[in-house]
Amino acid sequence: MAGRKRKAGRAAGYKLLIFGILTLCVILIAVFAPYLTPYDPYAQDLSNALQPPGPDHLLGTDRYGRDMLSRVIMGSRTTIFSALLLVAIITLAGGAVGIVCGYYGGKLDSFLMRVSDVFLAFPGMVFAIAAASVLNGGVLNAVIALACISWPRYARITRSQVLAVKDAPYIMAARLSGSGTWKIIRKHIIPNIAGQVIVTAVLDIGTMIMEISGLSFLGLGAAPPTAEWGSMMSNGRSMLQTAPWVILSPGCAIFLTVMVFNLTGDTVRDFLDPRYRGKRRRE
Amino acid sequence: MQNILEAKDLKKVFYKNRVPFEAVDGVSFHIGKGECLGLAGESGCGKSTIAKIITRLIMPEEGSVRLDGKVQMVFQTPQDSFDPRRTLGDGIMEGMCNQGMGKKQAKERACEMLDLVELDRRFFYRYPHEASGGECQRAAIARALAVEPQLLICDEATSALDVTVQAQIAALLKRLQEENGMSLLLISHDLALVQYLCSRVLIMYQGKIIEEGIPDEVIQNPRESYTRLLVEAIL
Amino acid sequence: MSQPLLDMRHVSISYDGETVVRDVSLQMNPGEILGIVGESGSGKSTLLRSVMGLLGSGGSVTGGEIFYKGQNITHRKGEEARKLRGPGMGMIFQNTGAALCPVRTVGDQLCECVREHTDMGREEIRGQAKELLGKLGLSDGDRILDSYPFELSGGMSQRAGILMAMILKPDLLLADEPTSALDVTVQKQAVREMMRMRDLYGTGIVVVTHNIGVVEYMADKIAVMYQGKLVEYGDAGTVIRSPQDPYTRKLTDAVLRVRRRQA
Repeated sequence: MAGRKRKAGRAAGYKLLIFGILTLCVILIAVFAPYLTPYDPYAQDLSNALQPPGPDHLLGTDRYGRDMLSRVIMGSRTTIFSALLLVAIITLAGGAVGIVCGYYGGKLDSFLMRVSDVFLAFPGMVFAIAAASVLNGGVLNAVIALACISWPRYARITRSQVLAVKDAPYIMAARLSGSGTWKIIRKHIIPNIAGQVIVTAVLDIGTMIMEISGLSFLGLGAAPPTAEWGSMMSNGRSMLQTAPWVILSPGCAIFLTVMVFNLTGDTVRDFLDPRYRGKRRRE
Repeated sequence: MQNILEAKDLKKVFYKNRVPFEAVDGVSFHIGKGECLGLAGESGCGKSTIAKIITRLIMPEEGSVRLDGKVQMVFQTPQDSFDPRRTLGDGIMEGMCNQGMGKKQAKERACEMLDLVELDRRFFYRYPHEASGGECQRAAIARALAVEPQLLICDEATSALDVTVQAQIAALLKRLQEENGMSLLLISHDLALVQYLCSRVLIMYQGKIIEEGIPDEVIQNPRESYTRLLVEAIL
Repeated sequence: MSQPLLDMRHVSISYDGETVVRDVSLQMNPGEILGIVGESGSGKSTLLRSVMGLLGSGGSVTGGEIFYKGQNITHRKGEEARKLRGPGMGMIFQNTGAALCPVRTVGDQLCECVREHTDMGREEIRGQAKELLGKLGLSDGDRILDSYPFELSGGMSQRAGILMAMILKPDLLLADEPTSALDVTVQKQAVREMMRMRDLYGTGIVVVTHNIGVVEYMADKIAVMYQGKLVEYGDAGTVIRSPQDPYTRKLTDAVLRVRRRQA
């Protein structure tokens, strides 16, 4: 049995390596975007407007003559960074609420969980659209709006994980040895639940990219000159028939990036799956 | 004999679907210094609840516990009683560090404790899943003894182990108890183990202590019908 | 002598290339109780599962043969295996409560199980079940049959499991740690019930357990397994009183026994 587990574990390891490298590439592109763009993504050149893809402009140009490749590369920055920021915010905020609820229980738990129920009861995207428009657009405000509707899920996941470990004998032993609550949470609870929460977070990056792009597409995210995939698609939608590259380039960029993050999330889950960690009990 | 622990009229009610259920119902007992007291009964009779009350992991509704000094506990499931993401050594050192002992000194003492429970010092760096049940249980005993408790509670500490390992752990406990004069509360459903280790035994049934005495006598001449049933059920 | 009920000849079993049972030969006659003891990881449960045909993915019998009433069942699968279970072989697991479907009553599942193999009517099955429960010393058969598994205590659901395994009066009952999750008083009842089944229907029983006391109490023959090998096999009394193999000796010595001074 152990042999198969080891093999499966190794396969998951290789996959993790491949997708990890791909993810790293995507993030590096985002980080070094200003140095990778062949043209200035914001420089307008109306004489070169709506050029189809060719040797000068690999992905063509938009109606203001801006180079699409440069804009897609630059846009990755806005889209990916805001998605990562969003996931980080909801993981930390939801995780903190979940740990407090799970560990202390009682009235505080009931109160916070009812609050999260209220948030979960709103149709998510509609709430985000409303919140983003109240907050007056902008990428950061789109992130805040989406964070508002997404944290309860993390709170719930974390809470159920905490409930599962908090009565384990090793937690009791830690309490008996005189460790304080904060120390127990920091040293014993968080390391033991982090895996599951991280997997959820990685799997969510793709979804969040789509939601942020979605808000931008509706004009509630990035403000016009900023290169952002969703708003770029929105700009191109009227020219779908005449200049399809304007909408297809950012569309493909979203598609590929979301796929890379989702596949990475899946492999991370496989990798952290306790069944592959092998060597536990035989019978 | 001076008493290390005195428990008076302990009462604890749990709610199962809002129906109250008296897990511990007016239990009083004491443990003398250096004494090994057995607490026997079947699952659900309230044995483990008493352990949790003594260690203050839960609060009783009524009654009081007077304890001279520190208490430590060894749990039933050896592997689960250590944090799966930390080494056994880390687990043993935690209590000592909490008492303000330095890292280096704590490590030194942890190694001495491993010697005491006849476990190789290299287990200090092992993770729980890299050790067998018996090895984890020895480490758990080392962890408990490291902080020099006046009372050690063993809650079914041998029941999850293989027979041969059970015998080793029982012998280890007997040796430690005789050498160190430590007080021990042995919670077990296994009357043979109680008889092997304990000088006095309490029989619990449905939250109450129904019989008390010297193990040999209780087993020989049980007074209560439930005790008789328990003794006769031993195969 | 008549044909043996179960005959294992040089059986080896491996999981993904790792041999967990090596060259085990055992024989048992109808109506006999065979106890298999050993530590966790000794391969005793694996051996039992190979007889059940439930080795699971990755596990296979790599050597030797298993005969049930003279019929080679080493590599049976699918329909053939299903027919054999039930009327031929009954099974009891450590945790029967978990093996029952939680949203249907015990009686319901019992009926389904019986009707897979016979064409008895619902009422007839219920009647038989109650009669059997009565023989097991449980008078409130209706209550048990109308209960959902979670409403029964551990002991009760284990007895329901014994009932389900026994209602088809199998010739061979395979029990994997049947009493390990039970309290001592209930354990004794369950052991007695299995022995009663043998007395009533002549069922041969293989019981796998780490509890030497249980085996000593009920078994006619004992097989001791250690690291995948059969280290000792013989009459129960002989194995317990004068063990030959050093491991068996260690095992029997390790058992703490209640001292009962003779009055």
